[in-house]
This record gives sequence, structure tokens and C-alpha cells, in this order.
Amino acid sequence: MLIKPEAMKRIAYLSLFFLMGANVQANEYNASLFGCKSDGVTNNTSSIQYAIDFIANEGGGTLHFYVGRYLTGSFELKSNVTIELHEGAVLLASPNVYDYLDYSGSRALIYANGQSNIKIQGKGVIQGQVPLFTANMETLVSKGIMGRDSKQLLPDLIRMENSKQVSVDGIMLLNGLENVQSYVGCTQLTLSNQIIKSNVYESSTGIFLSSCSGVELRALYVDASGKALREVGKNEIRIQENCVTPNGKKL
Amino acid sequence: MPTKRYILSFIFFLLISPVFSTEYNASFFGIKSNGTTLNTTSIQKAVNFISEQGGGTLKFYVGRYLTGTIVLKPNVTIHLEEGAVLVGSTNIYDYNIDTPNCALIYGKGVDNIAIKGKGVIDGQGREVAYHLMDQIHNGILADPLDYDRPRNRRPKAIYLRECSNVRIEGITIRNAADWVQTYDQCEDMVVDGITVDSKEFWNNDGIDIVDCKNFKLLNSFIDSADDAICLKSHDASKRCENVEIRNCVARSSANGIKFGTVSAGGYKNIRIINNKVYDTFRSAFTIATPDGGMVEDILVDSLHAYNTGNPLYLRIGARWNNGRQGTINQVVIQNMYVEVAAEKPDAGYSYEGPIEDNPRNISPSGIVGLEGQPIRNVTLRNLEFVYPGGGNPNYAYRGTTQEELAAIPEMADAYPEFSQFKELPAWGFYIRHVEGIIFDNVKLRAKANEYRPALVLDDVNGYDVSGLTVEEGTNKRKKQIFVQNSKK
Amino acid sequence: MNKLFLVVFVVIFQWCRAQDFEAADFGVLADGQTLNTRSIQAAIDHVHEKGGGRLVFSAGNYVTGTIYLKSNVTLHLEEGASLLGSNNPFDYVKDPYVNWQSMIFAIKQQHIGITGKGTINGRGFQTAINAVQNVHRGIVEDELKLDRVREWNRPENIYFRECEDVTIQDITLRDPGSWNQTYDQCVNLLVERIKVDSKSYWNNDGIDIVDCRNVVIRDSYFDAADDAICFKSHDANAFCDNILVENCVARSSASALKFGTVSRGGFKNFVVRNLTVYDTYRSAITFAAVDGGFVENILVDGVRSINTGNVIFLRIGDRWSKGKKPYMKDITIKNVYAEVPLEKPDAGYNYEGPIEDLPRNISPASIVGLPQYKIENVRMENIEIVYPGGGNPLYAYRGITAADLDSIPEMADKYPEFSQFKELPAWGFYIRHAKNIDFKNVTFKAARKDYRPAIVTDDLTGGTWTDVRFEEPQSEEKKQYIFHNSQNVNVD
Repeated sequence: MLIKPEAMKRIAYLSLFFLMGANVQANEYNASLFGCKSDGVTNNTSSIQYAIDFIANEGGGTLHFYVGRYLTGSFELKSNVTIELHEGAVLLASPNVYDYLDYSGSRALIYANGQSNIKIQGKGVIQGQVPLFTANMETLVSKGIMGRDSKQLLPDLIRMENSKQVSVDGIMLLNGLENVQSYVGCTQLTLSNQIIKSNVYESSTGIFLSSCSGVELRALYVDASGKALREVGKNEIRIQENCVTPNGKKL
Repeated sequence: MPTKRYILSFIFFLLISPVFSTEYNASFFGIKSNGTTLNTTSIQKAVNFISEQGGGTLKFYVGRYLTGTIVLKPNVTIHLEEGAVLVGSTNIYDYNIDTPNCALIYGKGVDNIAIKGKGVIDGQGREVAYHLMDQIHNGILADPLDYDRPRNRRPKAIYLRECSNVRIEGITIRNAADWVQTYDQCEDMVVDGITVDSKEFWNNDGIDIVDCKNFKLLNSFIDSADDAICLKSHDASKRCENVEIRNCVARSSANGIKFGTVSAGGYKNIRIINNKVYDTFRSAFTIATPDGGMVEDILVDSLHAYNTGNPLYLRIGARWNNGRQGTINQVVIQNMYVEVAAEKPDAGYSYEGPIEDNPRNISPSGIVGLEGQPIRNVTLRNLEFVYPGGGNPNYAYRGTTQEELAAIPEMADAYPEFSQFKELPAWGFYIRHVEGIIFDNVKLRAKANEYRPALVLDDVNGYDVSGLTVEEGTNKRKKQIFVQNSKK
Repeated sequence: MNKLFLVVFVVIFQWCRAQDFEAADFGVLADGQTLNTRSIQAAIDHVHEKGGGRLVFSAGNYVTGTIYLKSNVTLHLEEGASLLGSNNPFDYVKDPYVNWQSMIFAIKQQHIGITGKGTINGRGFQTAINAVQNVHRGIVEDELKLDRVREWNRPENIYFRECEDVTIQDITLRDPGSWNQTYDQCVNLLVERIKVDSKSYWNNDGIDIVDCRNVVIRDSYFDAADDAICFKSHDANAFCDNILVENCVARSSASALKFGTVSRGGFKNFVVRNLTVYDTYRSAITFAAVDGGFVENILVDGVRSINTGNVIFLRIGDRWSKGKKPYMKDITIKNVYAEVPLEKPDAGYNYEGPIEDLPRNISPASIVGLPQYKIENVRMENIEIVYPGGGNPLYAYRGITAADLDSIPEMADKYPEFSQFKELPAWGFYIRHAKNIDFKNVTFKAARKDYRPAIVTDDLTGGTWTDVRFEEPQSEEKKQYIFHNSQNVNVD
């Protein structure tokens, strides 16, 4: 508990008497509560991470992003937390290489490891800024600050490892790098109703799966410059339906 | 005191010289130009005083004048000299938030007023909105926070209601927390040569002309996050009438020039002449009448739009109409050139328009009435619309069979927007529920090949498409016109 | 009196004309908007891994949250370069080791510095306001004491802990959210030619030196809402040792040069030379040993204190001592000229000092120990203090009868401040519970007649007073010093 009982009481009191937040359930949180700004230029990383940790500590709930553009670097999803991107909401990936944390050798805008019951849903967008990002990275390489092997530093828009009951539903994913989204060692993984468009980076994989089980792929449109679906190791894809690429083929 | 005597005699002198428009310097009332002194009460006193003296001009010279709400009084001109900035307080409680339509400059039922000069009104809207947000999160002010932003109490920069003989000239208006300027039921009003730069927060409409009569918007530049030039009708017993919009340039992350969305009464005799639209997310020109408003006698002449999401969208809906049927009748659109963007046209602007209504390929222009409630008598003359083309049926598909066309929902009560139907079956023009439409020298061009035809007519009575020419990528022999349930 | 022992040391950092690295090369943007936290951190790490050097910020505005400085790295801010603190409280780390927030941390690093004529601007006012909002929203816990977030939950500009060979040079430090810069248990610290403008929010100290050894602060300017130049001792087993403060100017809405308030370990071997104080609300010089700490072997030579509420306040208290015995001894204060104003000296500054301890007439300089802990061996030489005088007994009164003097409370566990006793019975100097207090060539002037004598001593044993002079209008016959329970004071 991050809030003292007195504080909770005070909030409850205020809520009651000023009849505010009537449309917000106890475990539903607006991004603005944590100071997130939808202006497209404020880097919201710390606020979003604080919000997720806070909600996880409260036992779980949903963090709502409404219409607007929310610039952010890496953050980690925690068990029982849902990110809801309402139609018109864009999570805008920072073009700064260093805004992505190294999570035991891999990088991602949204990362989870060893979590359960995590969801990203809604009609919103997660958008990479590929030309800017790669230009920044090339500059660092040319100045000798980063090694030429820096490809391994390319962040995914979403990467989940060793997690279960994972769902990414309805989201539009734009302009990823090597992998738009990666899932490694996940179980009960559902990807559904996604639109993936990732053609700016030369060979961008739409969905990377490694050692996942209980995978369901439903209604995905994958327009990627690389492979739509790349599998490594043994994956158990239980269901694949209505998943197409731009030329109308299955994944 | 000699100075006092001097001042008194000065005032006396001014009072007995009715030949001159009486001018007062802001400093005369102790108004401070330091940017930190809150001048609300001093400015209000000045306005009241000048009005009580029979009118005159309050002059602000170079400097930053911090203030909350100022209520205008009859016969007073606010003159902002070059370099003068009227700066809105960032404290929400400095505004008349107990009044609907609170604003930095507020006027109701006052005549013979003006705001002039080369100065600036800066609403500091984002900071005001953030402060309001704090107060809502703390439970001090109640607000539903729909879309996670305050619905009520966001101050406009200017709100005038039921005023007549009004002039707004030359000024620059920046950064409101809500609509920038609203003129509601005003008469005999001219807005001339102003600049609007307002992209700092949601709902930053550039200018809202609501149920006004004899209104001219001339020679202005408007760059705003929400609709740039917007005519509205809030009152079912009123309407916008005799409005002229001429020689303006508009940029928006919504629509360039729009009628609606709220359109209770309607619009009559509106002349939109020689305007430009660029980098605009939605339509260059759009009329929406979902609330029972009657739209008639509309002329759009010489509208040029570049890098814009959609050229044209005319729509009747049935949203808050309370049984009244909205109409659109006698619309002439001529000499219009539009280049539709392949990529997001407002990318990089603050408060970009939302990515929505997906999946869809590039949307066509639309003229869409309702079943039994057609849009009547539309003339399209000398138009050229250039589209990127390239619609991919695997991404989004809408065919032209009878079933597929019939399956397009009416969406009568939905928010009217060119993209609302998601994928449409045409790339150039989709026309449904229309009575009387003429294509006279209309050219539709798609740069890349399309899976869709250029034009679909559905439930159109009395159409003439003989003046339509179509070019589409490398497709020379494609059937570009699909007609269903229609007659010439 | 024992001679002061001080090793004048010069911190020589020779990392062989270390290499310069441009911050811009790391994608650090000077646009005043982009949050650069992670880029700057990556740059510091890079320079550190390359063996050290300067990370150079050219002119521009660099927004950042918390960064950690590493060994052998100097942040060099060129003229016109500003590090701007983010206004989002969540962009700051509360370091678990020091349990405090800061924009720039260094913990257990060596050979580090911040140099150049640029600025570190915490923009702390807005950040502090935003932190309060987070508490009101129920998403951050804080007791909101005095309606502000506790100082450890607001970011400082700089917090260095257990570092060695630290150089802070030429920079301007502005507007922190809490204290400005803290050096805690550092060794070999050089602070020179810096400018501090620290009055944007509560607790904006100018500089805090906590339990450090071998410190030079010189040629610097401090303008602070809270204490300007402040030495503290947080650790009962550590103390501030071997410190030189010279050629500094200080302005404060609290005290200018202060030891304490937290004073667990102690303060030893100080030289303070050529200090100018002005427009300061409380004391020009104040030493507090209230938490069991000691103050020993201190030389203050050359103080000009203009428009400042109080000149000298030495105090032993017993607040958080936990049985540890405080002492204060061997202090020389000389060559002091001071003017005490009638009106509030910091009126008009942001975050003016609080009006408190009323009613009282102008407070005297004071040396106040406790019955069991006397302040010993204080020598005052070549001192002139000009008071406004005019103490009015109808406004506030403290007489000089034995009963009146004995009724002055000890206030052992109270926050030590020159005004804490409210009205005192002297207008020039009040001494209580002390041993061997010497005055030589000391002049007290009152501009107007005061109802009180110039000096009152109570429980003073020993001391030689030579050339002690008083100037007070219409008071030629007045007895200007009163000895109560005092003995062996030789007045020439």
C-alpha cells in the first residue's frame, strides 16, 4: 500500500461529497492522475511506470489512455495490470536510443518478464518513430559511442518473457524495428484484432514467437517488411484464424 | 495635489472633446506590464470606467499584462499595440468559471465593442487546463473528465454573446484552453486580419461563429488543433445567416472549414470565397447537420487545399435533432482544388488528430444524406481532387455489389466525420441519399491503382455525371462509376 | 588561546588533461523540452568506462531527471548551458542509500566535478508544487508537514555522498526543490567561484556540507531562502573537519553561516575568512550543538554583516543527543563589523523568513550554553556591532532582577535560533552558561536609547574584557553590563 489509510479516507470523503470521478471504478485509473500528458512531447516514462507499479500494488486494475499522443520510453508491465488504449490514443515510442532500458539483454518499449494476467487492449495505437530512432543510432555509431553490433539494442514495441495469461487485443502497431512484438516463453498468449504496419525499417518482423504455448492468433493484419510471423524453438499455436498479410496470405 | 488636479483636468478635457475617440492608457488605471502582476480588477475597472464615460479606447502598449476574466462593456475598444500581450492567468479561479462559456475576454449583450491592434492575446491554455485538472483530481471541482480531460470550465480566449457592431482586427490569439473564440448570436460583426495560433490543448477550435447574422471573417490566418473555421448553430430557433468568409488560410488537426457539429438551427446564405487549407487532418470543407439544422444557399468558391486528409464531406445525420429533420439544399461548390495526403497530413503538429476508424484505405469525398432525407441540389463545378490511391483490399475491403453497398450503415446518430464509415466502396466520391447533383467539369485523379471505383452513387435521384473525368494510375479501362438505386 | 591548526590544501586533480566528450554526441538535446535523463546517464557511463574526462554541455537548455555522476567524470557546463530539472516529480530517484531525491547524485565516487560557467536550474518551485498535487491525488504518500512535501521527497540539485576529490567550480546553481547541494561525508572538496540563487521554495539552503573532511569554499556567492552556507553533522560518529571558507558573500532568509541544526557528530578545525553577509533574516554566524555534537577550534576572521537580523548566536542544546555530551570550545571571532536593522532585513525576497517569537525588541548577539554544558573559551576581538536600539518595555519586557533573569527558560530541546527566547534582557550581548569569554576592542552602538543594558551575563565564569565600549544616546550614566551569577570576569 502506497497510500496511508488516512489519505484513502480523505480521498473517499472528497469523492463522496464532491461527487467526482463517478465514472471511474475503484481499479480504473486515468493516465492524467499520474501526470501523464497527451501533448506528444512530454516524456511520460516515469509517470507511466509509477502508475503501473501503483496499480499493481493495489492488486491490479486498468490504466486508461484516452485520445492523445503519449510520448514514452521503456516501461515494464506488472501482473494484473491492463493498459487500455482508447481509440485515438497513441503510445509514441521515444526516438532516443537511451530511453530504452536493457532488460537482461533485450529492449522494448513495453516489457514484461515473469508476470501473469497482463493485457494491452483497445483501439489505440503503439507507434515507433523509426526513421528518427535509426538516425539517432547511426549518429552514435558513427561517432564511435556505440558499437557496430548495436542492432541487438533495437527495441521491440512489445516484448514479453516468461509470462502467462497475456493478451494484446485490438491495438494498431505502427513502425517497429527488428521485431514489432516478441513473446518468449509465454503461455496462454492471445493476440487478436491487431493491425500491424511496419515497413519503414528494412526487415521488420510482425510477430516473433519463441517457446510459447497456448498461443491464439485471431484477426491479425500484418503488413511488415520482414516476416509476418517468425517462430523460433517449439511453439504451440492452438488457434490461428483470420490472420492475413497485405497480399491476402496467411501468416 | 497638483498631479491629481492635472489628471482631473485631463479627464475633463477628454470628456469635453467628443470629436475624438477618447483614449486611455492602461497605466492610467494602474495596470502593470510586468507579466506577473494580476491586473484583472484594474483592467475591469478601466473597462467599466471608459464605458461609463460614454466609451473610448483602452490602450495597452508593449509589455505583458497578466489577467483573469475581463467583462466587456458597451462602447469600449481594447487596443493592443504591437508588443502588448494580454496574458491569461494560469489560475483557473481567476476566470468566470461559474458562467457557462467562461473566457478571458467575455461579453454578453454589449454593443459597439472592438479588440484591435497588432498585439497578442495569450490564453496560456495548457497551463490553465493543467491547473483545472489538478483541482478536479483533488476533488475541489467536479467534472466527468471524459476523454481524461476537463469537460467544463476551460476558458476560451474570447466569448461574445448577443453583441452587435463588433470588430476584431489585427490581433493574434494564442493558446486557449478550449475553443479560441466564440461569437454566439452576434450581429453586424467583422473579424479582419487576425492570426490564430492555438494548438496547445484539446478542442482548440480556431474560430466559432454560432448563430450569427451579418458576419464577415476576412484576411485571417488560423492554425488550430481542432476545427479551424467553424460555423455552429446552438439554438434551434436561430441560425447563421449572411456570413462571408473570404481570403483566409486555415490549418487544422481536424477540419479546415466546417459547419457543425452542433447545428440545431442551421445556416443560410453563407459565402466562402478564396480560401486556402493545408496540412489538415480531416476535411478541407465539411457540412454536418446531425441536429435538425437547415442548411441552404451555400457557396464555396475558390477553395484550395493541400496535404489534407479529405476534400469534402456533406452529411445529414439524426443525433440531437428531437424529431426535426436536418436539410441541406442549394450548395454550390466551384473552383476547388485539393491534394489528398498519403501520409498523416498533420504529423508533427501539437495535438495531432487521432488515428481512428481503422482499418480503412484513403477515404473518398462524401455527400451522404439519410434515407428519405436526401441532400438536395448540389452543384460541383470546376473541381479537381487528387488522391494518392493504392487502396489494398486485404487491409480493408468494401465491394460494390448490391449487398455490400446496402451493408454500409446509415450511422445517423453517430458523430459525423468523413472517416466514420471506415472503408467506403469508392476512392473519389461516395454519394448516397441525394436528390439533384451535377458534376460539371469535375476531375478525380488517383496516383496509384485502386481496387475501388472512383465514384459510387447509391439512392441518388437526378444526377448528371457527364462532366466527370477520372484518371487512375495505370488503369485505363476500369469502370469508374457504380450506380445503384439511382436515376438521372 | 590556542592557535588554529589548519592545513591549507590544494586539491589537484590531474587526470592528465583528460579527454573532452560532447554531450551532443550522445543525442543529448538542448531544446529545453526533451527529457535527456537517460542520454546524459549513458554519456556519463561512457566517459567513466573510457577512463574519465569532461562531459561538455555547450550553450542550450538540457532538461533532465536524476542522473548519477561516476568516478573520473566532470560535467562541464559552458557559459549559456543550463541543466534544467524536469517538472515531473516521478523523473527523480529517491536514492535508497541516502534516502533523498536529487537531480545529480554521486555516491562513493572519486575524482568528480561540475565545472564551467553554465547553470544548474532545478526549476524546483513547479516540481515541488506538482509533488504536492501527487499527494493530494492519493498516489504518493507524504505527511505534508507545513503543507509542503517533506524535503527528502523533493529534489536537490546536487547530492554527493562519500565521494573523494570533488571539484565544483564556476557554476551557477538555481532554484532547487529542496536543499540546493549537499556534500555528505566527502573528502577533499573544492567549491570555488560558484553562484547560488536558491530561493524558489522552502528549505532552499545554499550549500550543505555534512560530515566532510578537507573542504575549501571560496570566492563564491550564496543567495538562499534557507541557510546560505550550512555545515551539518548527521552521523554521531562523523564530523566536519578541516574546513576553509573564504571570500564568500552570503544572503539568506535564515542564517548566513551556520553549523547545524542537525549536529550529531561535530565541527572541528574551521577557518572562515572575509565573509560578507547582507539582507539576512537571522544570524550572520551561528553555531548550534544541539544533538550531542561538538564545536571545536574555530576561527572566524573578517565578517562584514550588513542589514542582518543578528550577528552571532552560539548555542548548546539537548535535542536529539541520545545521551551524547555536546561541547563547544576554542572559538575566535575577530574583525567583525555588523549593522542590525530595525526593519525586516529580508523583506521583499522570495520565501521571506517567518515572522515569529513575538513580541520581542531587537535581539542581542548571544552565547547560550546549558547549565551542565558550558560554552568555553570564546574570544572576540576587534568587533563593532551597530544596533537600532529603541527597545520599548511596553512592547516587550525582560528585566534584570535575579528573578527576571532566572525566569529565562533554558529551552534545551527546542530548535535553536537567536530569537527563541523572545525578549532578552540585553540589547548588545547576552551570555549564559559559559566559561572564559574574552572581549578585546569590542564596540556596541545603539542608534536610539534602549531600556535594556548592553550586556547581560548569567552563569559566566572567567573572561577578560578589554576596550569594551558602548554608545547609546542619552545613556551616559547607564550601567551597560550586568553580571548575574558570574565570577572572575576582569573588566579593564
